[in-house]
Amino acid sequence: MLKLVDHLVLDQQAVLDAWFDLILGTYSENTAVLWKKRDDPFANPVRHRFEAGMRGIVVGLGTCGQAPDVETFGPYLDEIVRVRAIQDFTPSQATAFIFLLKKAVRETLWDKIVEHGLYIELLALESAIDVLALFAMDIYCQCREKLAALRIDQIKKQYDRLLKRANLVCDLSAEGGEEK
Amino acid sequence: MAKYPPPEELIKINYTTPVKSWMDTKTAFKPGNFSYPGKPEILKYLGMPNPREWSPTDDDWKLPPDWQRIVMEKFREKLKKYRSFKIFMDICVRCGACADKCHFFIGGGDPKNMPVLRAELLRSIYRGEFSAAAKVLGKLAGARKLEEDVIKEWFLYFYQCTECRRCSLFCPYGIDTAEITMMARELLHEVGCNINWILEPAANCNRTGNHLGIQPHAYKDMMDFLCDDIEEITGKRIRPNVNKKGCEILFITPSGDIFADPGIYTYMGYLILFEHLGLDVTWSTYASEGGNFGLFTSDKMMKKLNAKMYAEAERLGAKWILGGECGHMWRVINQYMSTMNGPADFLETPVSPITGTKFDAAAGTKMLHIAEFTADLIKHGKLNLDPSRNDNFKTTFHDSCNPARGMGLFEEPRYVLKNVCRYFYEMPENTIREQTFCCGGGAGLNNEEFTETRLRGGLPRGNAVKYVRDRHGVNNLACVCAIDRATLPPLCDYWAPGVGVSGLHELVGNAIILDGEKKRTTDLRQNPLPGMEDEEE
Repeated sequence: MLKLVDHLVLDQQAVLDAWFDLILGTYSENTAVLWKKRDDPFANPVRHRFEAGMRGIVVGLGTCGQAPDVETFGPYLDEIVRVRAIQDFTPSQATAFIFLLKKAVRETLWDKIVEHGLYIELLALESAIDVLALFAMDIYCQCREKLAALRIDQIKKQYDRLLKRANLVCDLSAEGGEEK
Repeated sequence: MAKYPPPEELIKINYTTPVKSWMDTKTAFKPGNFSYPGKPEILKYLGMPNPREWSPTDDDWKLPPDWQRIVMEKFREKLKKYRSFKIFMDICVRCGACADKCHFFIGGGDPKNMPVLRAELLRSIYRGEFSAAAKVLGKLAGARKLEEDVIKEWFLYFYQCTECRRCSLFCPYGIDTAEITMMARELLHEVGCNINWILEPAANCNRTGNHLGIQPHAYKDMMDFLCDDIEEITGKRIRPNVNKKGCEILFITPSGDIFADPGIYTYMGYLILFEHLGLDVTWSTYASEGGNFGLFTSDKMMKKLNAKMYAEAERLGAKWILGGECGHMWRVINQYMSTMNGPADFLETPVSPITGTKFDAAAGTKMLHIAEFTADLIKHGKLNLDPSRNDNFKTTFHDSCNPARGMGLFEEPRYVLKNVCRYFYEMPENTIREQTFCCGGGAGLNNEEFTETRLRGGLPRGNAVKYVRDRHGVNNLACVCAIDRATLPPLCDYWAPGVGVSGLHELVGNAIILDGEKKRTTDLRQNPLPGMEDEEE
């Protein structure tokens, strides 16, 4: 008998479509229309990155067993989180997209869950999705830390040579201290 | 179906944007989505209206008491002065061709960053105040009244436009949305709403000749510093002419390249090229800025800063001007110079003293782009090059918006790149040449407080860079603009880590073999050349 994750992989397109619709529901209506319409990966990188990440996540869930690992899912989550981390969302809004997968799975696969009594498997799958949410939070924080670091870097670089010329820079690496 | 609490109910978030008219959506200022306002002392220095301390996050923007009259009068004046502006206000049929072409919209999804809607922010007032029928019909005709919230909205969104003109490329009527942004910004100036990152450089440039306000002796000092580095790398001491009268050529490049990493390596590349050719060229500490921050301040300021370069060429008695890798400078030269300050009759049409090529395309402005100059040299076999010195770089090329869309400079930089590098890969077609994506930092938005929004707008470019990184192992993004050189490194770091950024002439400088140079073991960044990793200094 097929397991829930097998159904997930078999019906992945329907799940992905439902999930994508739900995620685009977090954007303005006009934006969602345009982003759904255009599928050129370079003209519409948000959709491209989201689809790549979402497919990786769904297929990954089909094969990962009980415990999702960050090595497998990190890069896929990154495709989505990195974008949403700088899109004017609050941290919870930026990462909540992962919970929408639960809704997409329930809506798409509910008939099969009922038919084959896959409730316990559904609970396991949803727990796995919860783990992904925690990974997503880590990635979100990394992105925001990166953003802060880039700002500091920019300030430094703008006046770098002038400060060096004025002997106002203490080069720790030259004294055998910490690397830059 | 069993009853379960849907997850979005559990976390109590309403994901969906309320479906209401854009006119009713209030503008929200958050750290990261706006640039800091102009400092009062800078506004006073520039003689601009309403200098004061204020912040976009304040409720009260301290507008002058009769601000509505001021804005409307200026609006009327602009419509009268620029027929193009009036046409742009009237002609848009809202076909939507531009809607998803702006990098800020593509990356962020805010509908007011659709060029059509951004322009509508202004058009709605135009209709509401200048069109009798629309005045009566009001919202039905897309018209509205000028209220303080409109000023706030203008400030947010017209300072979220880099004037890159990608949207204009797709407009069937050829509406230049960048010019709409310019007009809106000029209206905002009238009530003292502007950003410091534009005005302070413009003020500095006006006073000392460059954005950072570096004085002549300090500029010369920095040049010597870079010549020290060149000597260390090549064993050759270069002694460039500075403010020298009677040279054939005056060379002008953005000041960002003398002070900021990685622009300095491009600057070193120029110095090496001129040394290699024995070119009769001088640098100027007064015309020490190519980038024209007047372009996004006002027509008056643009004209003045542009005129300074030509005044210096005349003072020094140069025959023509050679221009470095800059973005806005070339847009001003190609699109505005002739009508503002032309004709530059005291100069001559550029002729390469090395190859004899006459550059007729520059006959109007008497100013030649260095990529054209160098491409011509390579074509005639005048450069002694060792491209293998750039073998550590697998490079792609970012068409900077202004040289690309503002002057059609597509092939020359590529020709140069292919001759100084052995590994060159193009990004996808709809992200380069005319269709190039902005770095997100043009038109004065390259300040650090705007980094978050700039990264958002940098997604389309970053996505294309990531593609060639993954597909071809590209690790370098070459470009011909100083703002790019400042903006693209963080952009790549966020969207395509592992890809560095260089100017075109940095790579030229690496490849040029100077007469009598010592055996080079490092590139201009003092990183080991391929195969020289174990060489001792």
